[in-house]
Amino acid sequence: MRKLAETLLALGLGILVGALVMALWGHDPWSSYAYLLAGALGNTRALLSTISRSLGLVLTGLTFAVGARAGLFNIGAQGQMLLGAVVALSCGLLRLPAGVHLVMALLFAAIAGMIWALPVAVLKLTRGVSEVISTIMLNWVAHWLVLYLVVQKLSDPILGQRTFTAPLGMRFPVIKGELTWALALVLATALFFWWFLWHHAKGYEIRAAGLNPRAAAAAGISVRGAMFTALLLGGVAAAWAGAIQVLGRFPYAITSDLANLGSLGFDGIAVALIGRNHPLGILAGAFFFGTLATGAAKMGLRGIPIDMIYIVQGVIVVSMAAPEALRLIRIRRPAVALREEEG
Amino acid sequence: MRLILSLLLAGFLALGGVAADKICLYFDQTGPGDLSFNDMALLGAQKAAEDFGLELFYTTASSPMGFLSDLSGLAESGEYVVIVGVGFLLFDALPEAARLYPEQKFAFVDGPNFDLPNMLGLLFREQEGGALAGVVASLVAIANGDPAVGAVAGMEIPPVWRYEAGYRFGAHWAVDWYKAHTGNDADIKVMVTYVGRFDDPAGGKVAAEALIRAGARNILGIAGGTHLGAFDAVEEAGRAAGREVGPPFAYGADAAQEYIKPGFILGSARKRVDVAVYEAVKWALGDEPGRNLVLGIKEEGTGFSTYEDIVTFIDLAVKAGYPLAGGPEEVLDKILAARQSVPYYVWQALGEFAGLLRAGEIELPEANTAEQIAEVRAEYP
Repeated sequence: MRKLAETLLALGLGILVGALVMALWGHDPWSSYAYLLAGALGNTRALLSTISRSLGLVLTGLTFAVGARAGLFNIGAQGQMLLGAVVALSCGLLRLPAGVHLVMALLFAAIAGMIWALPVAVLKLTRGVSEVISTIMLNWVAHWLVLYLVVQKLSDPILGQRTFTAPLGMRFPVIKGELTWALALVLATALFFWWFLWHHAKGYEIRAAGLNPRAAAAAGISVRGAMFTALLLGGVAAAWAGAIQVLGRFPYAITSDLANLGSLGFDGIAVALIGRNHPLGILAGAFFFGTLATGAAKMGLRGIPIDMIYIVQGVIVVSMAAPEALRLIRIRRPAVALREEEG
Repeated sequence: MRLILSLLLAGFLALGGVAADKICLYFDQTGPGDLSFNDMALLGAQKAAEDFGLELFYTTASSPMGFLSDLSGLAESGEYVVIVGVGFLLFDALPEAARLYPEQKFAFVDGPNFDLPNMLGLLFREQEGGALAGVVASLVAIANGDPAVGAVAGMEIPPVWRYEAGYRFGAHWAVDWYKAHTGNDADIKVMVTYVGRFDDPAGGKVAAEALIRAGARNILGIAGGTHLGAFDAVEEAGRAAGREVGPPFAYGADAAQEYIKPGFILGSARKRVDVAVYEAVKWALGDEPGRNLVLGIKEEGTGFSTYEDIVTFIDLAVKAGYPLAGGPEEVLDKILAARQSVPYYVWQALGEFAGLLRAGEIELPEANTAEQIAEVRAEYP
């Protein structure tokens, strides 16, 4: 309850500062915010767009959260997300019956996500390499690898600006408007993470390792095992975030600048912090983030330049993520713990 | 909660009055401020708004993830006579929105109309502007003893391919022209670097620097905001060699961009996006069904920048508060000095080529697909 109050206070502060920024540059903040809300939630169509936009953020948010619960600062979701998208799309080259095709694509994406998380885990657990460094580097490797595949190998023979589209049998069926049944996958994944972290022994070990690695190790919990599980699970969630952009969202393809995958992986960090690294909070945080993003175009019609909109979004998101970010910085000392575990 | 409700209410009230009396420009990336493609679209819309007594609104996509929902939101408001999608990246979302909202008229700058009755496709024969720039670049390169000419391109998409195809054709045509008129031998290679983005000036600069090192000291920019960085690289290389006027020379695209680096930008491949957007508004106010409007040199939709173009865009730059390198007169003088610094026959060849184009006596290669551009690259290396 206190956390919720903190977050709402931060939201209020963010909105006020954002308003101040707009007012200082001579724009009317309140009508702009009204436009933002109307653009994102004003009718059923907009609401469905917003939800659809939020789905990927839930998954990359979970990636960061499960890492943070294990005491890790895992920022590798971006690379795993890109790889998941391209692997899922590549499955479109296979000929499979509808439905089975979708399941296979998700399976392969999950494997790709785990493979991309594996070096991070191995380097961390055997050599003590900081996951921050290894994930940043692997993100770039993934970025250029995926860009190469998208532009050179998977590009649509007629439209150079994107890849071929996912075959119909590989797509999530549409619920209504922009929203597809990717929603079910995302909700199930969030539910699984919640169940796993709070109702499964391994999840308990992850949380214990994150809260106090020394105490956990003393109690016979394998801190390494917990971190390993957290990194690989995170890899799966992130890869699915990319996969559902291709399998569950118009235009069911990847654009040649990777822009329709955006910075989902990095945005997931903010979403996880807003949601206090809890699956339920992350659902809310992602929806909030989606609202800010979907409402932006309508806000732009008030004559507010796109850069100003980015500033306002940034201010609100940073202020909401701040309380949890500060808490993480205060409690996190995993590197020390690992060394002690080694003896 | 009450605050949110009242905000929502205010939003609905603001969106209430439904009478289509506005023009909407929807930019796919970056939006106005590129001193080129996007600013020209805005210019055409402003002129149309004045002439037809309409209000003008514009907005930029915050991310390609939102194209469809943005366009849907704009269409369902019913406030717009026409929604003009500016930029090729809308290739999937714009026709989808046009199908979802058949009552709303759309126009697509840089894209076809997809046989939709409520969409006007606005296409250009970019090859023509590219070829004209290629002729000039190639002859200047030959005169300076360079082995190659270059181009800094944005993304691998048809409008850019068409520019590239024309540029390659023009460069090779000029070599033949030079041989026929002087009896001397010459050979020019065309080197094109794709940066992959339209909003990456730093990447454009690095690409241009590499081209200059490789001997291509005439560089066409076909990368929107990205090639502003190529302009920087060309000017820096020129100043480092102690020159006030090139070589090296850059060439602008879409707008007449000479004023950005006066003395170092010899000309621009014009693409009159302003004319296209103006035509789109005119179409939306009439009863004609959707079609493709193709603008080329005959329709004054493409070309090589003229004296009038240069003056017009210096004026625009002054009005927009762009920090010119000196007074407007001074800038104009420098631009003209650059044009006078190259051999006279360059302009003679340009005039000849433009005349042949207008008369339909030159057929430029098509470059609408990856295969076509691959063929062009093989034929005009």
